[in-house]
Amino acid sequence: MLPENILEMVAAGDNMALRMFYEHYKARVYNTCLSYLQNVEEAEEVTQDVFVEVFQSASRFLGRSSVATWVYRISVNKCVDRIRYKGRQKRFAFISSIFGQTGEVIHDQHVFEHPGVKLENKERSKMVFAAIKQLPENQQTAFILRQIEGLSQREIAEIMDMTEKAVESLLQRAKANLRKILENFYNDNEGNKS
Amino acid sequence: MADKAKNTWVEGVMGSLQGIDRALPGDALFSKIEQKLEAGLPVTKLVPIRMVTYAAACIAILLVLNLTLLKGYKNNATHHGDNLNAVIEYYGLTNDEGGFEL
Repeated sequence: MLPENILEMVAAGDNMALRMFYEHYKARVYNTCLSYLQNVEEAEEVTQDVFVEVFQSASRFLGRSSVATWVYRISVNKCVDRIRYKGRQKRFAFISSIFGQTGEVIHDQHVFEHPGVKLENKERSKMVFAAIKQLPENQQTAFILRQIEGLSQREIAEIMDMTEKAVESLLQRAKANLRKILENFYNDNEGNKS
Repeated sequence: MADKAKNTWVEGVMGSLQGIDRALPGDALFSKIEQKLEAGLPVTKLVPIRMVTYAAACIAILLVLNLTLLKGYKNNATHHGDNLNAVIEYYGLTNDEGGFEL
């Protein structure tokens, strides 16, 4: 349990408070980043950026939402920024490769295995994570926060700055899209085996 | 039959995230964050940009108000002098040296 004035202590640069704050939120931030980016190194880098921003802007926190909501919002924004940046890099490398420059097309085909998945689900979860990557940005956010972080629709609505109804509809669309992606995968692979 | 197998498979895959635990970062991450903080601006000395903006806006408003008031005061003073001279002239209150007689 964090003290009520933890953010004031963090803003004042109290090392003990920084450590306490980090210990309290590290799993939530890192797990969100890892689920988004599906890469350990990148998730650690973005987690660092999230905490640096949180620590540096603690004095500006207005208390309009809970601290957890604020931290999640920063985490989601940083992950989205990183994904967009990677997207731009890929497009640039692709264009460069067309014009014969040194840029290489970055293939991001690695299979991600989340360390928190139960052993018996490891193989199947790889397909879910691959499918999550194909969802639109806001559907990814809603799905990760609900299914992996286990947040309520109300909490997600606060983080994403939308109504609970909108979150509910986003989650429904995310699940429907995931189902479609997995069905296509089944048709292409599993269906041919039988 | 094939559809049933497909649905069962999809349900199974979708359900594979049930009971997932949160992943934890490496132990060295906090010291990396500390290093980043030390490399950047000291946290305690940060002045929020919003505060700076407000302060700049307040100074600008005060400056404009002061200038406007000063201009108005100057104009008023000139008008006031003109009116007084007109009254002095009208009633012939001036003497030979140009001063007025009471």
